[in-house]
Amino acid sequence: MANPQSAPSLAAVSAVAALTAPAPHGNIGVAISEIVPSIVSLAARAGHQADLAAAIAASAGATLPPPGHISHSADLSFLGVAPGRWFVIAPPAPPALLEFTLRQALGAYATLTDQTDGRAVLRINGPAAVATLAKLVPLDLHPSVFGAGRVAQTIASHINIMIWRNGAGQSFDIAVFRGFALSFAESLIASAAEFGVSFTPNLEGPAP
Amino acid sequence: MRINCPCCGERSLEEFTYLGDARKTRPAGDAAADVWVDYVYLRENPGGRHSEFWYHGSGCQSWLVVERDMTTHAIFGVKFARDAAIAAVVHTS
Amino acid sequence: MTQLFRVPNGGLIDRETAVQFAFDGKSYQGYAGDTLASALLANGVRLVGRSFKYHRPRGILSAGAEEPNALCELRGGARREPNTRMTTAEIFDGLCANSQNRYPSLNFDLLAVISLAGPVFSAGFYYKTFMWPASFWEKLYEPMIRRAAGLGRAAPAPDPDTYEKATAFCDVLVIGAGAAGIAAALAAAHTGARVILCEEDFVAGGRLHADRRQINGYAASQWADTALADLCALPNVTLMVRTAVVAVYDGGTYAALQRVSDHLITPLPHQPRQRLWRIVAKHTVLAAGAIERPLVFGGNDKPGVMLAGSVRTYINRFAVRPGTRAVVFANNDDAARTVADLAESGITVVAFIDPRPAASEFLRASLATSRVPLITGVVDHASGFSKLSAVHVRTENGKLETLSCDLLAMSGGFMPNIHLTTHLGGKPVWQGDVAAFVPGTLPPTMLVAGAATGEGGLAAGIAQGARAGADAAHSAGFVPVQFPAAITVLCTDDDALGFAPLWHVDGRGKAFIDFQNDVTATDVKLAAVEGFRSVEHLKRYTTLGMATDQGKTANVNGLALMAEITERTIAQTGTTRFRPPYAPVAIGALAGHHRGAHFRATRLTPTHAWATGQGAVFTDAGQWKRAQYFPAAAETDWLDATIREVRSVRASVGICDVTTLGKIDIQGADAAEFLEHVYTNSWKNLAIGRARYGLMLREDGFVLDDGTTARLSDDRYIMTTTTANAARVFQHLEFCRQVLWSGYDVHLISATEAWAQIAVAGPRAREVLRKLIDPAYDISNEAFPYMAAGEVTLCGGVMGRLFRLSFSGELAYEIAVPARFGQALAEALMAAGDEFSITPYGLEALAVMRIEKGHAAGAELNGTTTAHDLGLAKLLSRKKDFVGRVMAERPALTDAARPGLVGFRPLDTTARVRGGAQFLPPTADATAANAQGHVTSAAFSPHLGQWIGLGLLTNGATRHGEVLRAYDPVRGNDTQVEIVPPVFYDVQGTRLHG
Repeated sequence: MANPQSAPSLAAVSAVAALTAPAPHGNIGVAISEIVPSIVSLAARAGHQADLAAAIAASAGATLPPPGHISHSADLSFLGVAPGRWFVIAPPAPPALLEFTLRQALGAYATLTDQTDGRAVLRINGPAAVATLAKLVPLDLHPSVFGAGRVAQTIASHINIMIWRNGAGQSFDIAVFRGFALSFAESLIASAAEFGVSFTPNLEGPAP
Repeated sequence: MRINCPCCGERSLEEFTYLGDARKTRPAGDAAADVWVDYVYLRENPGGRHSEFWYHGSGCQSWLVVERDMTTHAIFGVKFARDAAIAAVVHTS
Repeated sequence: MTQLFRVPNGGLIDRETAVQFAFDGKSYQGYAGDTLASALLANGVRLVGRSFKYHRPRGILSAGAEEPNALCELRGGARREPNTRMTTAEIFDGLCANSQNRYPSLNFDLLAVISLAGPVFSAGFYYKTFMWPASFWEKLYEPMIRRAAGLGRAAPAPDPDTYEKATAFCDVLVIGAGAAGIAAALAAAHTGARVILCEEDFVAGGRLHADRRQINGYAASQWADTALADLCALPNVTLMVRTAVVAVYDGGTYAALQRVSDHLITPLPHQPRQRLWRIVAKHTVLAAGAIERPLVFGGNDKPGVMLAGSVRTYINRFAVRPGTRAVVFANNDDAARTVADLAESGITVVAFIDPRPAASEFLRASLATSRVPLITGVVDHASGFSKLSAVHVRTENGKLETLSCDLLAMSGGFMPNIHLTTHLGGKPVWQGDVAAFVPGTLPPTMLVAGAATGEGGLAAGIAQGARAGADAAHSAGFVPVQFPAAITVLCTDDDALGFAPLWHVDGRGKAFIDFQNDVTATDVKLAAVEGFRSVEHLKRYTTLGMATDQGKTANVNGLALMAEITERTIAQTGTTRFRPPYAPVAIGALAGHHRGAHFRATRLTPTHAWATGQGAVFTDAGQWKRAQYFPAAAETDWLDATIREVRSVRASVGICDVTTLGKIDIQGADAAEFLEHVYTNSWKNLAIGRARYGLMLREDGFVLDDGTTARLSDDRYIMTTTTANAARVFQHLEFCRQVLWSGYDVHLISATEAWAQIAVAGPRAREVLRKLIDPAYDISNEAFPYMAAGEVTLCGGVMGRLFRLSFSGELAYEIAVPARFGQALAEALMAAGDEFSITPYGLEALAVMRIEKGHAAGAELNGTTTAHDLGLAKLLSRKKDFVGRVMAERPALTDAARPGLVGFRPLDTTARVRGGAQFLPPTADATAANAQGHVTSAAFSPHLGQWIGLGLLTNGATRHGEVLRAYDPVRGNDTQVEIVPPVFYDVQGTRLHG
């Protein structure tokens, strides 16, 4: 594998670079922002789920959660999305660095695929977040059902998404396939408009 | 219709894709042509309980076996097709 | 004009807020809280529309969603909404409504002459009359009928408003916020269950506001307000007014239409006009009340004939006198309350006409209090020209007595509002003692309470509601608790109904059963005489119940009459079932956000902005927007641009974004074994760093998809699929992985969007790439030959993947970088290729080059072709089991006579041939039987300077050199073509190895 840490000379462009931010008005019920975490899909190799769990416990100090749940280590979040399959979310980093790092620790027991650039992630935060998402996401987001530490894959506005709640508050992250990011963000902003909405692009763009 | 995915919980129909009869088992590669014709083309369409493959494409991407009443749409059970396939192999061997 | 018919006090109207509105161009004043119907009645307007078929003058029959008569066009211009029920439309300042189906004006309707010719327009009239000659139908009869018969006009321009869809979840959904619904919601909410209470009216409370009743010593209206305030104070309750639950679906799913802005002149900023909710409820209580049944007698449609309960609604809720001199005609005691309310509001009540031989004590007492005479008998017919002026009563001794009046309050009993109980196929059950269809088999998680059950009574309804609400919450997993006080101790005044059926008075004039579709008792009789027995046939033949109100007031009267004539019971006659939606839903609400540019989700490639800057014209490829061609300044035609793009690639170098091809990352110890099963050809011997073309079949032996797959490491492969089949192939592979070969260690993940992939094609491709790929990587022909694949870095350390693949037939590569760098990569390639006049090319050029090379694509991989058909039989391995292997070998699928892939070129080098043209022998007649195949793809070949193409031709492989006709009657083309091998360019393939 190529060394992912050397400095490239190609400029990174956000998946929602073309988005026109709505004109600010009144209260901001929903603040939408673009975030660019590193994302890697992780799947246990046949017969190695216990080994994988042990390796993650040893290297990251985290337990692997069941589908629909999230566990955390200092830097990593493990999102259970299917039996034996997770997404690992980490702070912004150059492409493939997370996959490269995880492969060193877990490669014997897991298959890993970098999804950082395959997805765009939007953060939806504010008192009207749930009311906004009711127009898009066909899931019960009530805290008693989808509280802290919950994640789900579903379809919103005809687009497949992965959604998880940040902490226990009114903050959600939604990952969509990159090509749908603009279309989805437009739907999101239109849905939030009645509550007052702001949009903050990732000004630095993705990490170089 | 809502299907209770064993991985994701109860979800609405639009997340799923229908394939068909889950009681069919793929014949061995050396099986006779008529066995294959039966597998590929012949389908039961009972006016009652049936077992069907559904794909949770907008969720966990699991293939599921859904036990359903074809007239009332009542769902009796949903399991991973992988487990059903393994069970079938165990059962026949 | 002042509101002459407004009662001075009371009602749920806001007398401080006067509202100006216009009906048929004339201005009126009403109050906030009025419906259009109540405001018109307050102003003495009784004639509000003309009927569908006979253009008869019509007034306001009801005060709710069941209204069949009082329909109008609400608003104007692009916001014009036809067939709006005036009885549910809230008025607002500036409201503008117009009556429907009248010409030239409501009071003077020329087409009412049809009414005089009445007998002609009986059931089945159109079917019987306009049969011959057939050609007249479309041009003459239909436009004429459409002008004469019809309701409102659709808006002339696109709807300027927005609509939304949303989803809500609850433990208990309560439908209807009348007495039973409020009780159900309170009982459920007190267990802690999440409750949604939907009310279609803009005021919750139902008949509690329409009737002067007492509950536990409080006025019913006050009880409702208190209970609703208690409900709204609970955090686990959502009260949704203006929200009609319109449909029931499987799994506790309901559709509800929230009329967010229908009561405003235009929606507030960022607010939709309507929002369509999908409500997912664990359990449901249907408390939809009952609909009063009209009585069927001659002239029962005259303006001024109104349902008795609705009369009370207008008096009590809207403080409106719907007339000045009233007669009440009823077969039950509920209408006694109407007598009391009429008298109380100062309307003279001439008489109570009762067909029942013996009046109850309750009725006698009520009438005595109001000093209203009781006449035992029936209304034979009503008379009056454009509004009611008298009723003619046939008394029990047979005498006809005329009573002058301008209001007739009628009641034929009550029909439980069971619409929603039948959506999943539940069949209503006839219950003789209340003479009504009551809910039969219910949707699995639904309970019914209140008047919707068919059992009358206010106290009973509240008790039933409370019990149903508690039961629903319990079923949803909540522990029962004591009911709140409001619904515990119940004491209300009496509820005797004393109903006796009266289905039809055989008197003078047209007796309407279905007001909206102008179906009369005579029509039902005629249908019976003509042999119709089934209610479904009756419905279609007479159109009974087929109007926009779905026969809410009509169905039971029609069925009962049919039963009577055919000498069956109503239970034997049966009933039709209702279908969604319960109330009209704007198409816009069904579409929600998905209209115009947002009709469907769009998917953009990483180079979309760059391509836009290059002037690209885009086309849809599934959800993707792909560059179709890049017109240069002087070019006006797509063909000019395409020809230039192809020439540039073939002569020098071009780039094309191919990100949209599906990319599936396949990893695992058994990845190669897995590929052996899903592809027809062999994979275990593919070396690391190499790619191979693969063919995939369906299990029935036909081709599913094709593409190249590269081996990146011992246990990792990157598969590419066609753009169109990406999702389908992924799903198929998951089926193979999870179901067919579930023991393998292999995982699949879509990596399509993670990588921006750009094809660099043309003799100069290597020179361009050499400038970008970091020097450590040798990409010479020797080190990186055709079908090589590997990881590289470029531009000083950007990670990438390089594949030496060629769809164009030229020396070509596909270079992939993380998607964020896609745009920069395109720019860098353009800069690096500047000295070679590098050209961006689009899908059109891509297609031309693949046709010149004879590569099969979507038009050939069309689900009906086999590997043999496409000349790929050599890829069918005989050494392994793969999907489709056995079925692909069936004799019929390997028959040489099947249409096989060929190339062709017109003999006339200027002729153009298009896809779909049929291959015919040169002298054969142009019939389907003579067709031997068809053109699948055609393109202008810049290389050959003429149109060429690919096709599927029977025995194709053996017919090179033959001349056939390419016959295209659809576009008027007929030209002779020579059949040739399907490769037109660089047959030896030396260029791609260059």
